[in-house]
Amino acid sequence: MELTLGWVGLYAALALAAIGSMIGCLRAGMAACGAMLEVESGFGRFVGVAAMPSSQTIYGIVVTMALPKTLTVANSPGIFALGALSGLALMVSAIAQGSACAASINASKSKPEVFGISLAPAALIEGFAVFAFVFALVLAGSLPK
Amino acid sequence: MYYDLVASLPFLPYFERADRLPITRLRLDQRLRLLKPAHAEQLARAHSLVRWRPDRLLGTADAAQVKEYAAVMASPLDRPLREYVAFRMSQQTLVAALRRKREGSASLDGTAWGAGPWVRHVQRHWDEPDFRLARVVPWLLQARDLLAASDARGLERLLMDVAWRWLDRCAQQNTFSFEAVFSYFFKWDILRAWLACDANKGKTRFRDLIDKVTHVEQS
Repeated sequence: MELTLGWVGLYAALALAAIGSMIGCLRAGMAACGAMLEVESGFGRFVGVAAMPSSQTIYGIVVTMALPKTLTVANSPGIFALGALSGLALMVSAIAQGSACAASINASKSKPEVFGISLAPAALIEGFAVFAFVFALVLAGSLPK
Repeated sequence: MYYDLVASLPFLPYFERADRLPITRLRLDQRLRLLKPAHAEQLARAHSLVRWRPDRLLGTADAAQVKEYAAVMASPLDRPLREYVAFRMSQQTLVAALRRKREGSASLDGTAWGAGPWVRHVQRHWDEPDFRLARVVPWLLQARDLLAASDARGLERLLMDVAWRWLDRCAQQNTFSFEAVFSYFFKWDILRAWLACDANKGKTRFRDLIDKVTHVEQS
């Protein structure tokens, strides 16, 4: 049972983060496509913003790589907790960031001068994802071998 | 959720500040093709009943309007759209009541004069100046004063402003939802109706109609 939890935790960080990135990129990407129908230029920056929620998947990959690969009864519950909870945090942050990016695209298509400032909420969400990621790495180092 | 559709719609300025429609009806209809079929049907049903002002006089009687309202409300509608339809019908019903009262109607019993949640309440409190609704419907007294002053444009502006704010609040609940789409659509409809208000065109049209009627009577 403990070992099963360990395996789940090992992959949860990557899988959950990837699910979040998919949904986030979908939301922002759809908004970018819609905005492209309305504007005459600046398509590239909309696509760039739509790709922002993909960073969570990279964090998920790094967390998975940082967790011990040798599963024991002693370290499996810790691996499960770290993998599942950091994965959950990354997933939610990617979904939320997708919505924030979509809102930013929607605002800046009519008012290009607010493009930078409208990305502030998305950047803040990225900050919370980085916190979850960094502390998962720190705690992964203190798991029993 | 309609991320692509909402993002493809241009910014809609407040109707009093706009000097032209930011998107044509044809282009808007093209964008609305992104709606799910069920939502498109709901929007078409609701629009036929609560559009701001038809392009031509429909000649529908109050009774037909009440019947259509009952049919639309009995059909499947998303809750926010249902609330908007009820809100607009209430708005029209209350203005109709104010007009009838101004014309000196003794009561409204036995006639299909309005629809929505306030019909019975208005009938019960017909003798009160505000139908005992001034607290729940804050614009009612202002509308009564504008009617009394025969300020048709002022009344139109007031009703449009109330509806516009209602739709704004609705869209703010969720920026990319069906609520946002139908709010945009009905606000566009308000803007279209407002921009169509042209005193000079109105005078010309009125003169044409008078000429037409006089011509028919003479022939």
